[in-house]
Amino acid sequence: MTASSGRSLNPRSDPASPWWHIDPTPAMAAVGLGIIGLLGIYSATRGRDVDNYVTFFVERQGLFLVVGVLAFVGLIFFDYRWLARLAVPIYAASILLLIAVMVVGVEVNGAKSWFSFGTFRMQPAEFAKLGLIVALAAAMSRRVEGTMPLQELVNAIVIAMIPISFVVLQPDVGTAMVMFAITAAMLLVGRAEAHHLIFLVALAALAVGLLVNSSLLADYQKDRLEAFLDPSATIASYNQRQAQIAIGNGGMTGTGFGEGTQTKSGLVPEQQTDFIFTVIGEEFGFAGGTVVLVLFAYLLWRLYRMARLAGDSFGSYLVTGVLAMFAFQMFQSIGMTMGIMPVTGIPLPFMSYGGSSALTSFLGVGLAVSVHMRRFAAGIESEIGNPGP
Amino acid sequence: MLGVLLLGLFGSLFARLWYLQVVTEEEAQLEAQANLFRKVYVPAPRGRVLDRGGNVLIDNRLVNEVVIDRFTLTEAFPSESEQREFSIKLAREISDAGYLIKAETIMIALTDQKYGRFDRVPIATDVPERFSILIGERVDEFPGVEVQKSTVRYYPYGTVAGHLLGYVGPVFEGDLAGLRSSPKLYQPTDEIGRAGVEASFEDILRGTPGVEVIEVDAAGNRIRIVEQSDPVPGNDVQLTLDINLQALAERELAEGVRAARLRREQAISSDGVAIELSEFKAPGGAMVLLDPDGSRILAMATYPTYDQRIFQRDDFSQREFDVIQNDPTAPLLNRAVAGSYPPGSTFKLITAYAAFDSGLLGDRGFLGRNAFLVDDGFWRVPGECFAAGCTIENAGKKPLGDIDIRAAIAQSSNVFFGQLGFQFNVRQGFTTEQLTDAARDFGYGEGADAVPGSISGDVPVPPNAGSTANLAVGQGDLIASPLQMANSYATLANRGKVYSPMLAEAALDAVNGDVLIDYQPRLRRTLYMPDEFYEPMISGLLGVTTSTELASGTAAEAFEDFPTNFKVAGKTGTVENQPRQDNAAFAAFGPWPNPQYAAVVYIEQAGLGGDAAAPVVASVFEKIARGAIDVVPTEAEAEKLISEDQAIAEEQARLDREEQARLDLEALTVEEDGPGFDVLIPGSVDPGDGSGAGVGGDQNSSDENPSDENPGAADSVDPNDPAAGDNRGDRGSPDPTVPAAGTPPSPTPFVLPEDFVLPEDGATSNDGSDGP
Repeated sequence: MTASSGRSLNPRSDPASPWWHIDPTPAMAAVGLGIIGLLGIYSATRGRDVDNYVTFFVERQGLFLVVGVLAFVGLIFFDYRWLARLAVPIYAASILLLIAVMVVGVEVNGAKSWFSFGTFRMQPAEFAKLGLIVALAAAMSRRVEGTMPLQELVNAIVIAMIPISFVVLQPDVGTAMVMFAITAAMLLVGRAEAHHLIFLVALAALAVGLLVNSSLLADYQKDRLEAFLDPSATIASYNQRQAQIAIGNGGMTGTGFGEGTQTKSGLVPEQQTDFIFTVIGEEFGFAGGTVVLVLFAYLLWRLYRMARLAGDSFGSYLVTGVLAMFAFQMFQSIGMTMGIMPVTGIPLPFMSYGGSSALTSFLGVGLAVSVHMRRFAAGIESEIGNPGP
Repeated sequence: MLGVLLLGLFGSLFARLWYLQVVTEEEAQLEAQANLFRKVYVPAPRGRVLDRGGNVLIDNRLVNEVVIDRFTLTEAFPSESEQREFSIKLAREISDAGYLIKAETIMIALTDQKYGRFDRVPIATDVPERFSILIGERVDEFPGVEVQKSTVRYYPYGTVAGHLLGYVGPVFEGDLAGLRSSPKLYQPTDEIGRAGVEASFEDILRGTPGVEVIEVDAAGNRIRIVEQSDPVPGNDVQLTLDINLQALAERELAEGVRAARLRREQAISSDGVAIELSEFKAPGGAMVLLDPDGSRILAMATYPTYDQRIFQRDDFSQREFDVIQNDPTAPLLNRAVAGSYPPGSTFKLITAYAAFDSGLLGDRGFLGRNAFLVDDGFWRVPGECFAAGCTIENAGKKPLGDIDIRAAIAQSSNVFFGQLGFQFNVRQGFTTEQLTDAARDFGYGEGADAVPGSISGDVPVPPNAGSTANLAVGQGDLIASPLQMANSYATLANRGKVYSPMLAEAALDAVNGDVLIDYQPRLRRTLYMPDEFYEPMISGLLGVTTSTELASGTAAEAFEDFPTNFKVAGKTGTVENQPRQDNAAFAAFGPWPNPQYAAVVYIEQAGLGGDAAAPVVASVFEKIARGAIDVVPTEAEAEKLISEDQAIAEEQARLDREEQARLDLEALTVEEDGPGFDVLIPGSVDPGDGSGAGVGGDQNSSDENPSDENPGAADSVDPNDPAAGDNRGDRGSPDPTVPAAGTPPSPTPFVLPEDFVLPEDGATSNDGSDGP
C-alpha cells in the first residue's frame, strides 16, 4: 500500500493524519512468528509427563507477546521524532542499566546479564540495543547531507563501543555481536566513507583476534567458536550436530506437532530460546521452516521499504537499526541451528522464549511502524521535506 | 546494498534448510532414531557342555570385569593426553591388584570404534576382587571405571578334551554380516564359538540376549523402557564323550608316544642281521574310542596338545599364538579328526571285504574263500611295473608260508593282500573301483559332519596294477583320519552297519534339563555281510591279538595276559612313511562277540603297529575290561586332592620318622628279629616278571603302592604297632596282594611318573627295580 493509493482510495482523508498511512502488516507477521514460537516453546518445554504437561513457559511467553503487542500499540501513538530529543536520556538510561546489572544482576549460565524481579527477569542488554539505535540515529541525523565526516564517524563509534563493551563484560558476546551489526548497518546507510569503513573492519578483526586470545572470553565461548571452526568431538559441536539432526529429522512436512523425537529427548540444548528453530524444523518440517523464513522475509522487506520511505533521515536510521537487529539475529539464530553459523546465544526475534527479547522486538517493530506512518506528517518542530531515502 | 545482503542471507538460510530437510533427510532421521532409543542387550548365559555321564565339561564362571563408561570418562577427561594419563594410572592400579595390563591396552580399548559414545568398554576380565574394592573407594579418581560381573567359559577338567571342546572368542567384524539374520542377535562385543564343540554347537549353546529398548534423554539417562524381552539362556549339549575314558585315552596315548620314543628303529641288513637305528621320533599321535552302536564317540585323544584356555586370556598375543602355530609337532592339529594318514594294514579288512563282496575271494574269483596261498615274504607285480608297490614285502620280508585269509589278517600278509589288490586291477570282470568303492562304503573319503574339524580324507582310484596292490595293503594315496579308521572298525564290529560318527547325545534345556533334541544315530548304509564274509574276517582279527602254537598274531604280545573275558578283534598297521620313520597303527574292537568299544591308535613315526600302537589300545581295553577306569577329578577336586595327599604324605612321613626311630631303637635291642626286612618283599616281586609286564601291564592306583610298603615292612617287624596297623587298615587290600603277586605272573604295579608322589626315600630303590 503506497501513499498514493491510500489517497486515491480515500480522497477526502487528511493526508497528514498518520493513521491513514499506517502499515500494520509487519506487526502481523511478528505476531504470526510469535504464535509459531509459542507452539515451539510448548513442544520444547512441556516435558515428558503426559498427564502433567508443563505449560509455564508457554503461558509466560503468551503474556510476553501480549505485553509486546501492547507496547507496539503504545509506541505507534508516539511520534518517533520525540526520540531524537530524548536520545541522550534514553542512551544514558541503557548504559546505566548495563552498569547496574553488573552490580546487582543475577548470574545465569556464567553471564551476569539479568535483573531479577520476583519470578521475572529482565535483560537490559536487549533494551540497550534499542537505546543504541536511537542514540546512533540521533547522532547521525544532525547532518543533513553529504558523506559522513570522520568526526561524526568517531562519535558514532564511541557511542556504540560503550554499550558493546559493557555487554561483552557480562559476558554476552551474542548481544554484543548484534549491536555491532546494528552499528555497521547504520554507518553504511549513514554514508560513512568506504575507506573509513575498511579501516574499521580491519580494526574490528584485530579486536576480535585480541578478544579470542584474551581472558575476556569464557572458556565455553572459545569452545563454541572452535567447535564451529573445527567440528571435532567437542560438546559444542555435538550440540550443533544434534540441532541439525533435529531439523533434518523433520523432513518435508515435519514429524507433527509434539512428535519431534529430538525435541522430546531434549537432545538439543536451549531449545525454547536460542535453538527454537530446531523445534519448528523438526515438528513442522521444511514447510514450517519455510513459513517462518517467509514471515521473516516479509517483515524485513517491509522494514527495508520503511527505511527507504521514512520521512526524515532520523526515521530512516531508526528503521535501519531495527532492520539490522532483526536480520542479524534471525540469520545468526537460524543459521546456528543449521550449522552455517557458530553457536552463539542469540534469541530468534518474536519466537524465542524470553520477555526482554519479545518486548524489545515488538518495540522495534513499533518504532518502524511509527516512523512509516508519519512519513507525511508535519513535524513537531519543522516542516516535512520531501521524503528522502 | 542492504537489500542484496538481505537476499543473500535468506538465500543461504533457505538453501541450507532445503539441504538439511530434503537432501539429507533420511540420514538425519536415522540418527534421530538412534538418539531416541537405545537398545541394550542383556547377555544370556551360554549353555554348558556335558559328557554322557552328566559331568560338566564346559561351564560358565562369574568373574569381575573392569569396564569404562565412555561418556563419563570423556566428560571428565575430554583430551587425549588426559585420557592417556588416566590409562597409565588405571593400568598401574589394575596391575597392582594382580592383573597385569598395559596402559596401551586400555588406550586401544578406549578408542575402539566398535564401542559407541555411551557404551561401556570392557578393559579386563577376571580381575581380582581386591580391585573392585579399591575402585569403590576411589571413584573420584577413576571416573567411569566400574567393576561388573561377567561370565567366562570355564573348563572344570582343564585341558582334558581341550581340542574337542574348543573355545569361544570375540565375534569378528567379518562374521557379523553373516550373523545379522540370526535370531540370536549377535553384537559386535559378543563371543562366539571359535573351535571344537563350542563352534559346531554354537546354535544350541548360544542363548538369545534380552533386549531392552530404552528411551533416553540427551545425557543418556533412561527415561523409560519401551520394550523388553528377557534373555533366554543357551541350551546344554550332552556329548557322547565319557570324560573318564577321555582322560584315560589321553593318558595312555601320551604314555604310548613316550614309550615309542624310547625304542629304536630296527632294520635287517643284507646279511640278515638285525641292526638298531636311531630312536623313533614319534612327534604325535591320536586315539579314537567309539561305541560301535551308532558310532558314538567315547573318547578322542590327540597328542601333543595345548591349553585351549589361552584363547580366552585378554593378553593372549599374536606372538604366543605364532609360537604354538609354528611348533613342528603341530599341537593345534587335532590329529584324531584332522590327521591325514594312510591307514596301512588296518585297511586290509576293507580289501578283504571288497574281495569277498566282489567274489574275488569266492566262487568266481582268483581264490576260494577259505583257500590258501603261498606267502614267500615278498611278491613282485608281474609284467612291466615301476611304480611304488611293484614289489610287495611282508614286514621284515618274513615268509608266512601257506596262508588263508584268516592267517593273512592275523599275521598281516602283504603278499596275500597285495595279490588281491593286483587281481582287482587285472582280472577279467574285476575293477580297481571295486576296491575303492568298498573303502567308500566303509566311510573313507566321507566327512563326519557331526564332528567339528573332521576331514573327509581322500580315496583316489589307483592308476595301475602296482598302485592298486599298494592300496590293498593300505599304502599309497588313500588318506584317512584316525576317526575314519575307527569308524570302519566300528562298522566291522556292527557287522556292516555304517554310522556317521556322533558326538552329541542330546541338547538339553539348561534350566530344567528336559531333552530338547535327542540326537539319533545316523545309519548311512548297511553292508552285505553274510557269515561267509564275516566269519573269516573276525577270525583273522581275533587271531591278531592271540597266539597259537603255529603262529602268533601281530599284536599278540601286547595282548598277552589280557583278561580272557574281553576278546579283542584287532588289526595292526605299520605304515610306510618314506622318508620318515614308519607310522604305527592299531584298530580294534571288543569284547567279541558283543563289541561295545572300537578303538584306533595311530602314532606317527613310531615303528611297528604291534609294538607302539597295540599296547595303548590293550592298556585302555584292559582297564575297561577290569572296570578299573579312574574317575577323573576336576581341577578343583584335584587341587583339593593334592593338598590332601600332601597332608597324608606329610603325616605318613612323620609316622615313618617316628617308626624309624623306634626301629632303630629296637634294632639295637632285638637284633635277631628282622634282617633285611625293608626292601626285600617288593623287590622280589618285580624281577620275577618285569619283562612280561612291559608296557602293557597296568593296575591299581599307583600311589597306594609306595606308601604302603613301609607299613607293610614294619608289619613284619612289629605286628602290634598300632600306628602301622591303622595305616594298613585305611589302605585296604593292596597289602596282601603284594606278597601274593610274587608267585604267579599277574599284573605288576606300574607307576605313572606324574601321579607318583614319593613319600619316603625307602620307596626309591623299589621304584628303580620296578621300571621297564
